Amino acid sequence: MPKEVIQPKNMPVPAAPYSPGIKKGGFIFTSGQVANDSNGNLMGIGDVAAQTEQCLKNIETVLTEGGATKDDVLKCVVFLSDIRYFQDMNAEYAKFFDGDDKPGRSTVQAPLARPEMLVEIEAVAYIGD
Amino acid sequence: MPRTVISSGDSVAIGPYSPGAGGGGLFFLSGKAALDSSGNVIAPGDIAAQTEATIQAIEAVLADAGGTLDDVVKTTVFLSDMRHSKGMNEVYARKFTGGRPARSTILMVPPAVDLLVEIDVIAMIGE
Repeated sequence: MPKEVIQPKNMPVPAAPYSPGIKKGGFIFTSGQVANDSNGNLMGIGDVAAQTEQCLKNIETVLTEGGATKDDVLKCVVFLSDIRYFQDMNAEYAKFFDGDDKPGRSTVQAPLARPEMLVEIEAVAYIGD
Repeated sequence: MPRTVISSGDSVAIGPYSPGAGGGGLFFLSGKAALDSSGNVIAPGDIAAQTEATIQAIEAVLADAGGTLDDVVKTTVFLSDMRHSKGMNEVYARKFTGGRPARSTILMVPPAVDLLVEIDVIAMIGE
């Protein structure tokens, strides 16, 4: 089965050599999503809660384009530019993943592509063959 | 179905890990970097050459699992400095063509001073 590129229409084509998402064998892998709006402008400058909400919206956009929902997510990796954002990110994250069976997750502190970016999130989902 | 551990004769490991392991068609490769068989950094300070060597090392491990770069679905690129992203992307774009993998790129504290890039990949082979 060939891999399928997931490029939502309302998401800019990445300037760098990657796809917003890849679907293969029932799995969907998203690229790390930052808090860009549909025009590629960073939202929520200085506001980690707002950025987290936008990152997760972008993940949902990719999942939807690939035929999945947030309930299909197996695992996320959260990159925070400063681990002190942990609680604020979690509060917003828990609003998005609001079920009892939340995905697995790792959270690491890592400087992101631009200093205004406070959080980046990637996800792996499974929807079966 | 049991997991498969990729044993790669010429793959450089600098710790207690395998070059990769797979199950259910998914293969998780260990992070690769521009290291020679003694663990020395190849092309210190040269992001293009290091990216090339890193992706060649990934290709070698994928080949041992019966795959190619086309089977890669997700990568994580670790850079020692975001200023290297342009040089990395130029080589990366040449190696990963058509149906480019999903990717996250983050900064790392490099394990060796002159090491500029490390890449880990997930591939789906034979599905």
